Amino acid sequence: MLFNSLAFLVFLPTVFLLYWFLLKENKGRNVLLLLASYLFYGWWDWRFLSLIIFSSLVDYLVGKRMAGEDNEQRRKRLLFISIFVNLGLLGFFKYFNFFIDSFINSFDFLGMNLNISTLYIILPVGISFYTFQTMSYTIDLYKQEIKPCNDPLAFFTFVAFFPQLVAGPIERASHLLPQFYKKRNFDYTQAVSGLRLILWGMFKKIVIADRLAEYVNIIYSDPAAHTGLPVILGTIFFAFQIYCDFSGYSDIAIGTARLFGFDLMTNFRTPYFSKTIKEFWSRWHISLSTWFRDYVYIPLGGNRASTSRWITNLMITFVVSGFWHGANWTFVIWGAIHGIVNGIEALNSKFQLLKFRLPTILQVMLTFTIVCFAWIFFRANSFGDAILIIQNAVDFSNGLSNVKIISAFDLAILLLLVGFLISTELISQSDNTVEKLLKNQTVRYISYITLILLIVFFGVFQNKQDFIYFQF
Amino acid sequence: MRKFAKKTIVFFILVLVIAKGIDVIITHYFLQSGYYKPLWLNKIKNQNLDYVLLGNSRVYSTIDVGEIEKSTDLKGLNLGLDGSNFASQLLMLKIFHKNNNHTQKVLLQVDPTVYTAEDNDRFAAYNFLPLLEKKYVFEHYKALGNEYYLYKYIPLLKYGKFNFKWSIENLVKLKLNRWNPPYDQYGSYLHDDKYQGDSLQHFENTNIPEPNLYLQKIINYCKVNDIELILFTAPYIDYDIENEAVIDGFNNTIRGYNLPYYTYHNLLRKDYDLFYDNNHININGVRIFNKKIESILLKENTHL
Repeated sequence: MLFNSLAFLVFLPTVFLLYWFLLKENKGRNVLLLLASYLFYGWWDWRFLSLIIFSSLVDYLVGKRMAGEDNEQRRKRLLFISIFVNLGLLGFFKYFNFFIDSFINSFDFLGMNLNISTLYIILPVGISFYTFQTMSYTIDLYKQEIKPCNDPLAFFTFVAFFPQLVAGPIERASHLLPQFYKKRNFDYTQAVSGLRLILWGMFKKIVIADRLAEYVNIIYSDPAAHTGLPVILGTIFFAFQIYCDFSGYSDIAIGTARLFGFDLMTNFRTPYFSKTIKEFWSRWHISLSTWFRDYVYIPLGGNRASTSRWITNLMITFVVSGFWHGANWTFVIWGAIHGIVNGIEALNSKFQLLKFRLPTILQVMLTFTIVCFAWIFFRANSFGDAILIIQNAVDFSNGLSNVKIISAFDLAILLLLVGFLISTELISQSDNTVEKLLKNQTVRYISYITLILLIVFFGVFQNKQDFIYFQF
Repeated sequence: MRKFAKKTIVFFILVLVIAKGIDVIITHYFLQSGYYKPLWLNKIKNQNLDYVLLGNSRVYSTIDVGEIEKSTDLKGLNLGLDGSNFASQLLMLKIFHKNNNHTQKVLLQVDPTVYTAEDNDRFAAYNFLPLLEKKYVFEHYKALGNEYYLYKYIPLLKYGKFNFKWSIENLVKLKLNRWNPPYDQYGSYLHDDKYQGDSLQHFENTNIPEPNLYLQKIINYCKVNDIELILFTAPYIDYDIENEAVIDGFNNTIRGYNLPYYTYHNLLRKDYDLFYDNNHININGVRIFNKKIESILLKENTHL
């Protein structure tokens, strides 16, 4: 079920009313949340529910066994089972064809023709997210950072919790799981802030992201046909499209969870105002970057190693992160670009290679430019397309004659929307002006109604786009 | 919880009231403007005509009603609506009649594409949305799908869902008088481009069902209102054997309705200079095809 669908508009109030009005006990509420989560997921394809249930069952049982086990070797074996099952599912459904294709291409390159058929495999929505979430439970348990869960209902609901099931935030068991144990009382302020986040998230997704997508798709679906400014603009628009798409989803997820008395972690903190790539990753998809930090980067040795090993650890983490996003070399290159720049920044911070500091605004612009450059590989359909886009972006032989690929009105709307987003984030970042303004009920109501009307008149409802991160 | 429920309900009602107000204003404004063809037609009242042309784009852009009037003195209107099916075409005829307009003849363009189209018009229905307030328009649509209940009763939903057509940009253009209707005073729009491609006409559905519910409704409507109904098929550029067989089968089906039927599917075959694309003639083709339509109207023998 999509957040931006009519079905969800009916689903959410129904579950909300049943949850708070009909059920008073925690157990009953957890049962409802579990059933609602399975319905939410099954709405897309009920067959893949078995994967979530299987993954939950394996990790629950592994957790139970690990709890009563003192033998380190056996504990390790249990952890291995959990990782093997989860990564095995992910590997099969997400990467099987990629590896087969890469294998064939490698032999093709050497002049050997292999005839291996690939399988038609549907990528189950959200598999990258829930496998990482449930895996974090067994890893933390192994590290004895959390206590084992003895309530299967709570555990299964933790894995399948519908607000964040398909695209995060990827929650840690230590943060989310205990919330299923304790009694939840309705909190007016929390619920209102939840609704506010849902509205803002919907606006970002339906209006900004999906409108920008129309321009971006024109450029990226036929990169050979466009040069100069439209290509640069298309890439900048993609930066804002993916931000509004994904942070919009996170806002809706966090807001929805708040309606049910849950607190999910912040996933984005105005990432495009970052002064370095390192800072960018502390503000972009925070739940994933901290996951990779805690379960890949630090176990590899992190920065507590020789300089070369440290840089290698950074590279490995970012390349793996890129690969997590998609079974395509373009994502690997995207990750590698971030890894390289992170490595350069790390070396600079350690050895003070640059003797001067750029003004903040230039640092922000430079970081944004690097992020946009990397987005080209993320968005392009192939490596060849990405190279073509880079070449065409600096080709100004056609002047400004080809700027107008959509109507002037539509282009003006897109620029206004991006400007509106930047101003809002700038204001909300600098002080609490927005919060102060929203304390006034009239201002608050006018703001909400304006957002609703903007969604109605400028939202994309025909040919609406899926959330980008659903494909991961 | 009570406070939350109360405030949410109050806010919800407030939003509905404001949305309804805006909906009424926008609807009024669009209705006044004649934006899109059904709204243009809705503004035409008390006309006594010799004929009206009914159909999809193969009527809208293939017959020059103004020229016919000049050469025959017959008064007519082109009610052809881009992308429409028989259901929408019947509604066009109803709008024409409800405004106290009269015609002696209806010339309806029929072809395999329109004949096999779904009853619930996915392509042209949005044109009529501001008219949903009218009882007969809503009656027409509610038989086609439940979504029309939502469009009628939830304010702004119809303009939101189809905001790419009923957009703020269009409103602004209307307000600034910077909108040119894509049809002349008779409802025709002629293409002056020449055909660039080389594709043949291809029919998606090769199975011609019988009978067609809404064609039958148009026939009944004309009978009840004492209007002479004449069917015709506009020219195609070319087609292969398989698609020619579809046309032949279709012609036989149409003849089964026992109405005057003139088929011009072969009239300009392979005359690429006379086409805009594979199923629409351009202005040069219109000059020739107009003569055939004039002949039908003057009851000459035109059967090819």
